[in-house]
Amino acid sequence: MGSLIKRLYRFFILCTLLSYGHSSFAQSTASIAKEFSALPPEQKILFEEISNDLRCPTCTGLSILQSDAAFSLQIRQAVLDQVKTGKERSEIIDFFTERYGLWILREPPKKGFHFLAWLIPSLFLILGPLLIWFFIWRKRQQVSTFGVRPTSEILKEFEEKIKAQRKDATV
Amino acid sequence: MVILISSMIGLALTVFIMSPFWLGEGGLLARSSSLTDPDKILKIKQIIVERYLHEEKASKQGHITTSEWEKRKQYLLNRYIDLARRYDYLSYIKAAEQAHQNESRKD
Repeated sequence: MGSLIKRLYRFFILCTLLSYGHSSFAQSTASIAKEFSALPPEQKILFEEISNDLRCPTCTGLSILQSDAAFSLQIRQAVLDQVKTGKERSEIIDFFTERYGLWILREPPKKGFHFLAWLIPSLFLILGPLLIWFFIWRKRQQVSTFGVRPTSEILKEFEEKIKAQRKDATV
Repeated sequence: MVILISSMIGLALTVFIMSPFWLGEGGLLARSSSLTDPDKILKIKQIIVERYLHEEKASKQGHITTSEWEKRKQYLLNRYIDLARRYDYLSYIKAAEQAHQNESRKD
């Protein structure tokens, strides 16, 4: 009997915690949505752009705009507060990078040392095929075909002979 | 006795299966596979060119269908490529042998 009461008590505690968590989550998303709908159009765009540029700390590859994790909701609320005060985009981004570091950004900044993160892959993309072609071409030059010409050259020779033979036939 | 009969049958079958390499019309397979004379190869290349023109003419005159002409054309082209490769290889070998002989004479 005592164990049954204990089990019922644990179940009650669990239900309370879950309902509290769910209601607080629902309250925070609802309040953000309400505040967002009250913003002027240009601030709405700014909020969405900034929220899309900031990384969800507890998810993989999601922005705080895409994620409904508790931490993301907190950051989203902070972004909303900053947008409401009329701050510029760069000021808000700086605010978050000062606190969380550059890691919070989904893309590395396109300036200074961090520009290398954009430049190096682009260089590999352009130079990679050229390098591969160069090395394969060099290897091809080293392989001996024992004097055998490529098929294209043989076919060219065949066509030339056919043309010459046709000329002889017409003359 | 059974082993003797079965091995004789096996031998006869093997000879029968391999016979196209030695027998047949002019022994063509055997001859073409052992063609190592560059002059002969050049002559056959010329014959293939002439045969190509002959078949082309027959196709234009409607004596053979377009698909038949395409088949013959591909066959003749493949034979020409084979012979050209063989000729290239033989010329290379001949040149290499010549170079080796010249070097050994110098030594």
